[in-house]
Formats: sequence, structure tokens, C-alpha cells
Amino acid sequence: MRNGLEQYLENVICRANLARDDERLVDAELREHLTALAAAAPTSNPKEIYAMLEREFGPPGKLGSAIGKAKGRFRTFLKKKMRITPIAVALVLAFMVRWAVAQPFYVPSDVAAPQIPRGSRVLVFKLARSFSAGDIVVFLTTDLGYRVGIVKDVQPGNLVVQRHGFPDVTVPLDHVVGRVFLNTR
Amino acid sequence: MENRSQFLKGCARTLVLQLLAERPMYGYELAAELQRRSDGTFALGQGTLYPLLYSLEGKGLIHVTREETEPGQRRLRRYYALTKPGREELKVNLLAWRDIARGMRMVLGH
Repeated sequence: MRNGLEQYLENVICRANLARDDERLVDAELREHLTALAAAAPTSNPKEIYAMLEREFGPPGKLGSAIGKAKGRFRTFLKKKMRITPIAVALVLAFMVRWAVAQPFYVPSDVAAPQIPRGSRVLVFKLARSFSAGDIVVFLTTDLGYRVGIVKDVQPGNLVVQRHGFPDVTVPLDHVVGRVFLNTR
Repeated sequence: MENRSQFLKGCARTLVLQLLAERPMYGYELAAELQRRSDGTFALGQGTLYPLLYSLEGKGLIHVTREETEPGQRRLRRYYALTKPGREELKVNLLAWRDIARGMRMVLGH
């Protein structure tokens, strides 16, 4: 059997079920007290030390659950949850990027083939503001749907966009979402 | 015996506040002082001491003034002291205690 003190402390901490930082503090603080007690013990037999600590401090399970309760079950729960904060931040950042910088689209037709065949997933750079003929762009139509197409001509304030199988459309620049810069196919 | 320990537990809260009002102390020191000054009445199964300290700390009645740890050791002395709300709480507790003690004496007749 291991050191009686370690054994006792481990049982307490295990039952207390604390957040990591609290656990470290409580462990160190109790250790200080228990060590002082154990040093005064007339024996070094681990079993007897354990029994003595149990007499002084009570059953480890009871002490552990009392400490857990005193630390606040809800607060402990929250502290443990804090470990997922980095993931939450990453998610928020991802959505901000999607909103402001780059957004993925699915292309269901062959209007911009062969560069963008049907079924492609493309990433659009939303900060692009100057275009030239041959660029593939995503734009917003008056019915609020997204369309993809190939720039055929650049006019002041407008792009003339070509879509295979459809007549060319003139798109005001502020309806252009951005330029396709990444294509999965 | 169970009764007695419940009774003592209720008092321990006020006593701990009182001792910490005198000077900051760490856990072991607090337990030893309590035992010494109460002539052993409050041996305070230390098991109740730490949950009590943590709950007082959680309620903002006491706080840790300094921490000491010997280099290379995992042991830690946390010195607890009363906060301002802790002082208020102690004052209220002492008044309540005086009332209760007086009432008990009057009924019990000594």
C-alpha cells in the first residue's frame, strides 16, 4: 500500500470533482495540513497514518463531497466548461471570416463550365473590388438568389457577366459578392 | 454525539470568523488555535474546517491574503483574512449569539 497520506488525499480529491485550478489549490492546501498532522504521528505505517487522518478529518468521501459542495457545484461546472472557450472563439472567428472575407458556395449548374463544372464547391473572396474579363464571380440577383458567371466586359459601375445557356447580364458592382479564388474541382 | 457535532458545526462558523478577524491564519494554524483556545471543545473535525473555509471564501466573507509555498514542494499555505462583508457578518453573528446565549441561560436557569 502506498503512503497513507497520498491515498487519503487522492480519495478526497477524487470525490470533490473540482475544476482543474481549484483541484490544484485544494490538493496543495490539504497536503500542507495533512503533512503537519502525519509528522506528529507516532507511526510511519501507511495504514495507521490513513486511519489517523480519517479520524481527524472524517471519511475522505464525506470530506470530498463537502468540499465539492462548498466550492459550488454550478461554479465548478462552469469552470470545467471554460475549457471549451477556445473552440467557441474559433467558431465565432470562422463565422466572422465567412461573413466578411471568404464565403463558400455550391454551384449546381454548368453556366461557368469548364472552369467551374456542375457540382463544384467554390470559395469566394468578398473583398475583391476590381475585376477583369475572364474572372469568375458570384453576384446577387434582384430576386436575392446567388448566381455564378464569367466576366465578359468591365464597364464603369457594372460588370457584363456571361452565363452559358443564358443571355449576358449587366450586374451593378455593388451586387457583386466577390471573385471565386478556390475551386474544389 | 451526532447532535453535538451538528451543534458545534453551527458555532464553528462564527468562531472561524472571529479568529480570522484577529489575524490572518492558514488552515492548520486555525484548527490548532481553535482547539487550544477552546480547550479541546472545538477539535473541529478538520473535515468541517476546509468546506467551511471554501464556502466562506465563495460567499466573499473571507479572502486569501497571501500564499506561501516552500520551493520544490507541492504544499501550500493559504492565509485567510476577513473581508469587509465578513466583518459585518461577524458583527451580526456576535449579536445573535449574545441573544441566544442570554435566552438559553434564562430558560435553563444558570
